[in-house]
Amino acid sequence: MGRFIDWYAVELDGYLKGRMGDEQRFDAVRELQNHFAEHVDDLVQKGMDAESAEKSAIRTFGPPNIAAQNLLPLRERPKLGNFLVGLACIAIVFSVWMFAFFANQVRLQSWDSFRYVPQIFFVTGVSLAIGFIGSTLAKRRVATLSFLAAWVIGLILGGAFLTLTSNRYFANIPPSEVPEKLKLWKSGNESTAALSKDLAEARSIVSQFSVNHNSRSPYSYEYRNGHAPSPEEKSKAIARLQEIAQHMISLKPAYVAVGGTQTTGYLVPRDGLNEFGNYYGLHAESFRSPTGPGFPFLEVQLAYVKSDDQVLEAWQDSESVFYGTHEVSSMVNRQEEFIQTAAEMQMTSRATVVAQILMLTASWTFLVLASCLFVCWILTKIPRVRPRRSYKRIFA
Amino acid sequence: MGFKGDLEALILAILADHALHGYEISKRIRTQSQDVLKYGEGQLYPALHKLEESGFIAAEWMMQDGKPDRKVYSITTSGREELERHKSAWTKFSAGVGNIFSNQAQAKESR
Repeated sequence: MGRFIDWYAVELDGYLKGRMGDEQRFDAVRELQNHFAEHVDDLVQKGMDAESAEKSAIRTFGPPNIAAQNLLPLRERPKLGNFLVGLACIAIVFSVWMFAFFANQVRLQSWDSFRYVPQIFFVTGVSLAIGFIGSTLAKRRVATLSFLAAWVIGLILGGAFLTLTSNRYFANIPPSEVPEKLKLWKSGNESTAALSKDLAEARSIVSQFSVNHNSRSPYSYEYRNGHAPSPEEKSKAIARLQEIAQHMISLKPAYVAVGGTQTTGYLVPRDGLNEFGNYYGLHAESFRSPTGPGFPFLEVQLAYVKSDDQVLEAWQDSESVFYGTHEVSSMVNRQEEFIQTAAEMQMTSRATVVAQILMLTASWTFLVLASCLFVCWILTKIPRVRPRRSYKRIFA
Repeated sequence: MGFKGDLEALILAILADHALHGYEISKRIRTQSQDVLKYGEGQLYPALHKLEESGFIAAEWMMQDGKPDRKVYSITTSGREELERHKSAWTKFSAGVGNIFSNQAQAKESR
């Protein structure tokens, strides 16, 4: 067999590789080689020289990429490929949007998610490797299993990642510290519940109130005051906060809502602790601000009052030291309602977290699948050799 | 004039008498139709593979000395039945077309 036929066979094989089973591909190329050989024999017998005969025989088939396309089974032809790649592109765009959206919903910076959870890289790597293997082998069963494996791995690891960091209060906290924080939070809730019970029995609650605060970052300060805090203002605020902190009493948070920054607590009476006489305090423990790492955020907030009438006044006074907004409302002797509301809110928050986990997991696995599909398609499209120019040069 | 599925029918007809390889099939289509029917080789092999997949023809590899192996196709029983169906459809089709043409010719003569 002449070199042109050999060349054509290599080109054709390159185009079919990855788009047809190995055995099927080998048979198709061998059959065409036989066809060329028979044709060349015929032409040579008619008096044509061998090289011209080879070229003439090859011309009847056209460029190898076209011949390869004709040889592919109908379901493998680019029509379906185009449809799939279009679908994959839409899926990727949609998935990225969903991922960013939900990551933001749980107060996670996308990059932080990747940085703190190296499993993401593992998932991506494994998915791409599976996609590569699937597309290279190009056996439908293997490709299907690869996609399935990508789904399962993405689901498991994506779920594990979200379980760890889906709560906003754990953003920017290294995963190793999350269990400790969770424990602290739970114990805070339990102790508050116990305290609520004790207080209810003793009927010793003077005042209850809820505080809506937004003191997470200098942006809220800027929003309220029209400019970013200066270094002097920051120093002043820190000094004032430290001063207040020296006088406060400690009470674990009654409830910290997942969906917002509302902190609700009880004012409890304490005697003779400082020059203010009796005062009431709220200790709302929270974690560092996820959005303002460059700005100090006091983890403890305090109100000190002598009576209900003084609640608003006290908070208005302390407000000046917080970079954020505070709305205080007095809810005197409404303990039963408060406990009921807190319980309902807690249930809602759990449902919200579960929904967020499910949505983020779904979007992540969708992204993995779409990426896998796209990589597979790209790999099957890249020819092992590039025959067009050389075909034109030799046979045109 | 187009006739749906004609290449597959022609292949079955060519293979009805002999088992042949791809190149020979294409040559016979050309010679037996006196160069009226010329299918590109690019069309022939997909049609052969489709017929093989459908079970209308069977293929067998034959070793050759000094040449690439040859894949020889032969018609199967179901292939013969399919050929009969094609023949019947073609007879009806050609009769219908013939009738129209002869009617036109008669109308022309009567004018």
